[in-house]
Amino acid sequence: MIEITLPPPSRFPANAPARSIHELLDDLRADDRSSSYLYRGQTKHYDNFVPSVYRELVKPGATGPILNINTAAFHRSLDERRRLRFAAMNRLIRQLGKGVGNIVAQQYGLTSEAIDVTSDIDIAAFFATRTYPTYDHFAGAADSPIGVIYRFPRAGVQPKHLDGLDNITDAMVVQSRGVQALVPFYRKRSDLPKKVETQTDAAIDANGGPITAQLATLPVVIDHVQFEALLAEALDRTGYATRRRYGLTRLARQKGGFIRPPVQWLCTIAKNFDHRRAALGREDHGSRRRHR
Amino acid sequence: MAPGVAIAEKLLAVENTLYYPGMQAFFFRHSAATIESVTRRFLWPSSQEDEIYRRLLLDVGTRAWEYFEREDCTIEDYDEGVIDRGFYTGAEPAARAGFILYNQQACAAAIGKYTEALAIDPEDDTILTGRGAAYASAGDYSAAAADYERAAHLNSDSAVAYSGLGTVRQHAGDLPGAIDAFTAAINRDPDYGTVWLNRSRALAELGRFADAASDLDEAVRCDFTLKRTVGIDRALLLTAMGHDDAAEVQLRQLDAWDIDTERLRAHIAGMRAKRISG
Repeated sequence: MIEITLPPPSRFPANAPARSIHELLDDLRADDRSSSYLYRGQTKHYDNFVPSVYRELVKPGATGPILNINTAAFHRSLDERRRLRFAAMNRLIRQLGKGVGNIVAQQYGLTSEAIDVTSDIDIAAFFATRTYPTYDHFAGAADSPIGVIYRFPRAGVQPKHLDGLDNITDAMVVQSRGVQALVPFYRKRSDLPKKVETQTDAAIDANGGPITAQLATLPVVIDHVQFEALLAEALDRTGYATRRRYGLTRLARQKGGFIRPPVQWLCTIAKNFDHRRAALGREDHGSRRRHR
Repeated sequence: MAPGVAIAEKLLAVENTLYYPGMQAFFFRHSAATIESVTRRFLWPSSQEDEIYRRLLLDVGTRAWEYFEREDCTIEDYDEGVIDRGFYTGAEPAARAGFILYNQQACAAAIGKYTEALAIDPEDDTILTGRGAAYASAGDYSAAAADYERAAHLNSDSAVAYSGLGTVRQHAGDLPGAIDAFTAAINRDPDYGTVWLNRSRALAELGRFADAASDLDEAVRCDFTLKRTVGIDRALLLTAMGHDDAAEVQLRQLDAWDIDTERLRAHIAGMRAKRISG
């Protein structure tokens, strides 16, 4: 699990807000001359903030860093409209890959495990001052006088391992910051073709048998430049759409970036799981060197 | 053996993004101060421009049409739809009714519904192009041209608006104006097969046969479903150019595609006779 830190106080906390959206924008622009941040605007601050697919599965008003998921509620909430949305998202994932498909699904209102953010302060301000579905200007209300813009550092962006989970030899568990973690777009048992499921179970049996482990996925932050590169690669590979008109998509217009917060899963892994070989990045090289 | 294999079995929890490392929240007081630097239409281009959106609509529409029929809604319907248009102004039901009436060729009623929709959202270029098409079908080309021109003014990326404008100008006999509008549409969407076809016809009417032939090639490259229509146009064009043998080859190709060419052959025979008689 990644380390949890409380959100640091900003210059305009809830009890001393900026006098207007323009005062806030001037301040944010002055502080971001090197485009170091991603933004998200909301007309109102809520106690929790999770991707749309989890929104109805978290207890209303739940607070704190970790929010428990009620999976029974998920299945109850699956009316035909939501089933069609999930089916469309799954087709996108099959066509464009798990990461890119998931993000396109988010942007076109299907469902998603990601939160959309933008690199453009003005676009965040648009969402902070207008209400869905008309997006007419919102001047505030007695029960909602304060709006908010969330700012995320680009540093630490990790767009690796979004796709490529095509066979059982792909690492699903990695070492990060000294702990085991799932790759961001892991493979669920319910997603596995029967043959792959059988092979995976056999592989686990051959390595000491199955044990359960509670693992969380690595967090991912992608800005719109990185996403455009990932999408371009997927479009070239699949022919899903042409790249030359990308500028006319909502993805380009909104300078959409995405945050995939960690989720915790109960997993089956092999008892003799080899942490060193599964490790990625610098920690991987370091652990191998130590073993020589 | 893959050492990193794991199977995710049961979802337990999600991290609250308010606690994302380094995230900060900046609050402001709502007021009359507005953000005008971006608009909803800029942020959410319609499916006429956004190719990924269009592809998704096609994908979902072909698979879930029974659901939409049963619920009596569109794919993008606010209450029951599957794909999010992005924003909803309240003009959508009247615009949808206009579209259905237009498809039934009830042009006057369609114009009425589109006008109702535009009263709610006068800035929607897709509704204007819909009403423009209805006006054109009803034979009111000046009203159609006005709608297409306004749509193009509101959304300068709209290939549909320029395409409609070209068609209306062509009907009105303004062939250079039509070619200009079709060219504007092609510049905005080079994969729009029907526009290449229509510009080819305008060029042919002006006697620019080589350019017309080139546009026919582009039309079928962009949209293979146009191959039969393009085949007919090509046979006519070759005849007009005096290439009777090549036109005959094209006619035989149409026969091979099970197209009834009897009337076309009669028309081509008339063209040849006229050309020979001088």
